[in-house]
Amino acid sequence: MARRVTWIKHELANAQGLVVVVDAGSSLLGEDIALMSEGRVMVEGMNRARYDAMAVGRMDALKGLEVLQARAAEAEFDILSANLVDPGSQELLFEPYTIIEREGARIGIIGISDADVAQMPPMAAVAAYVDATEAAQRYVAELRDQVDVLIVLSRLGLGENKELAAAAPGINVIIGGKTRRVMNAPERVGDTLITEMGYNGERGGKLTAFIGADGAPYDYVQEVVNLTDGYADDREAALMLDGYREEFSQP
Amino acid sequence: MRIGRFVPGRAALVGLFLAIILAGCTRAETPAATLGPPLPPPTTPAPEPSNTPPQATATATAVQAAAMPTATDTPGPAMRPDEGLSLTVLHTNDVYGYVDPCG
Repeated sequence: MARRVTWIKHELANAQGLVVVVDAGSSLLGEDIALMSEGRVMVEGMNRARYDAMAVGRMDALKGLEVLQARAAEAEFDILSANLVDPGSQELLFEPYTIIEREGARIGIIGISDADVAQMPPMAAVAAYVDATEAAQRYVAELRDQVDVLIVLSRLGLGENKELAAAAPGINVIIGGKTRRVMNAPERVGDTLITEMGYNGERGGKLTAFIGADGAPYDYVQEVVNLTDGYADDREAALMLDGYREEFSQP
Repeated sequence: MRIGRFVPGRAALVGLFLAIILAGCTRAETPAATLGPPLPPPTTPAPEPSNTPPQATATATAVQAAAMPTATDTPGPAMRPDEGLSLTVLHTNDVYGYVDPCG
């Protein structure tokens, strides 16, 4: 985490043009301190890294809906899902999208969850899954004319993300997860670039897309960032992690 | 003496050759950073002046010119008709709560 904060801070400090920081989900819970802190350590670290948004994935729901909504309230970034609803009221459980205004442009970000989230034991009674393609088509249509660029954070996996791009044209970039591929280059379906970047936080991805006025990408640069010890620990993040280790250390 | 007359010519050729190679390397090392400038604010009449304005390469200019829409195109409320944009996405996924060593 501390290396990731260093990497993102460095990128943001040297950024030109539009830059957003996102996570495609299944990131808040799983290992040790993250599980014991019910995801607080991850949210705090991502706040320090100035994330803009993430999608809700299966691992984020390990501790149930109340815990995840509490983390969403603490997050200084948006935790999104356009296709998880209350089984009774059919109301969305999270914000479906966010619009970020940056450098004079409007960036829309939609979160798409996979069906696994609603099947997790703590979620089964409180969450229902809405078809991802239907949700994406609905919100792409709603947002496309409001924004300059549209990003989808998707838990569907690479194969289904390609189908999603074909079924919901108008998405500029899909940042995926679940299939956990380390992609040296994005795949293109229509005018949509699709990528994802490994797992366990061992790497970060940096995709720069050059998008023409017609909405079609005409160039890209994809970087795989291996978060090895070539990245120093961010001092503040390291201190934050030490605090969590002390709080949850075994007697 | 023949060699003495010949060397300056050869040196000039070698110098020209090196200059071509170095110029090529310089362009190749900076394929993206100098492409299009960021999209300026849609409601701002003119961008803030900058001491180091981004330079558009010939390639970027050619591509943008080819993609230039007609005056009737309205792809979005904030999209300038004569420019695209560059978007950088820093992204992670499936971190699974790992904080060490990378996470």
